[in-house]
Amino acid sequence: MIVTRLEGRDTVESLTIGLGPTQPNAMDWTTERPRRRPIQLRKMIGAGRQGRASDDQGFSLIEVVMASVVLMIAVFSLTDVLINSMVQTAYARQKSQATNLANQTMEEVRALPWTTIELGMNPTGNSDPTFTTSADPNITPSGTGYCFEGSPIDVASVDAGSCSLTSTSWQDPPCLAQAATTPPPAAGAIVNSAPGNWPPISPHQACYLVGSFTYAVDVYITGSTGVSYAGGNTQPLTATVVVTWRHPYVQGVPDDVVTTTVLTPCVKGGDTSCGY
Amino acid sequence: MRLLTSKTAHDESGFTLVELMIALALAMLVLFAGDTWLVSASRVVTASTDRSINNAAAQNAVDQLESSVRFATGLLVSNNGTTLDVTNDSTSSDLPIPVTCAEWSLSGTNLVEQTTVGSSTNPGVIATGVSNLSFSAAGSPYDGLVTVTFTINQTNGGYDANGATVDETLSAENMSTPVASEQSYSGCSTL
Repeated sequence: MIVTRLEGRDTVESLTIGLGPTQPNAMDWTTERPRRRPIQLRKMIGAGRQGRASDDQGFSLIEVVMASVVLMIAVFSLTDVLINSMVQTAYARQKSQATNLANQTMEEVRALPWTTIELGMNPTGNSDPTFTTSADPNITPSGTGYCFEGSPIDVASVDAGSCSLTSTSWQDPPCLAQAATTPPPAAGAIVNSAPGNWPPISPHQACYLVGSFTYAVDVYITGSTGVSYAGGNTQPLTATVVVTWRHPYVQGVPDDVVTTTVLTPCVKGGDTSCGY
Repeated sequence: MRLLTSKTAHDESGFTLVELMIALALAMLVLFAGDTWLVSASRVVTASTDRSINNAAAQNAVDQLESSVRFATGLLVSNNGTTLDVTNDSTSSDLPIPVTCAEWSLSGTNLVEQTTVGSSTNPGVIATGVSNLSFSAAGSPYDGLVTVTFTINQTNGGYDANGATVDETLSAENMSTPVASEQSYSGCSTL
């Protein structure tokens, strides 16, 4: 019989039993609906319950633990991606803010008259408290003058040609660690005409609080090695603005923005030979 | 063959009503969750698009203002800070801008640059959806240093309801007199 060859599986056996006795040739049972006897129906129900009970055994503890581990790995992977995304977004916002500060500061430098710019960073009477090697570790003394990344920064002095380029890494300005910082001033608030005191060249370093982050802004006016700038300077000078901040959660990317421009007396109208 | 037909018969035993209702309820929950997520994602995309539109419009306005201010030989900010007069009285052929005066102000929600070339004036709308326009100028000894601030929102009804806020500092490279000294200068009205 078919029943025995179906390996004794309850569900199949009961179905086949329901069909068997009424159909001598039971191969095509789906086309002819058999008459079922009550006892066979009860067997079917019983067999179905047994099958259902077998299916409802659920998962073993090992299966559940393994599934949980896989799920946790997936969730933790997504969490890592989410956190990374948030950190990168915050970094992009900080860098954008630093770039804005650098641009604003460079505009302030451009707006200074040439008679101020041509004096460089260390003119006579300069009261810049940040113009010391302790306040700004990126300034290096050279002879009687000072240098920034191999270029003379006290172009008003005669001794401006003795700088040599050394491979020094950028040092964070000490004011970054200060607790008290102020927001950057708007253009209308930049009024300081005291002799030798023209921000952002003097003082050339300031730390500003924007949002919850502190940004250090450093300005350097540099000349070229070997060029004499003494008296009536009409030589081009370079303005460099460095904005530094700290972002402890992002590794391997720079935390400073550098912008540079060349200033000439023609642009600032300081040289009448330029035609205007 | 018999095995196959017998298994098929078992598999077609179907679901109970309770199973169907639970499955439907779960499916509805999933659908509603998916719909919420879809709506949120759509809003984020729309807000991002709005922000891009506003940023591009703001950048365009700042670029045009910068090209005007950069070659100015005179700047005048009105006392209430809502108008900026940019003049160029240079005779140098090095300066490519023939405009002798350009007055920047807000007309309704339009950022307008009214230019004067010779004796003719030409009002031009630089940007729409602008509000909170203000100019400020640095004092002596800064030559032509002004800051412009405004908010631009060209996507009314969009999800980026705040618009883009611009706070840009610009300097006039050709000016040799500070803006403060220009207060006695009447700007465009003298032309």
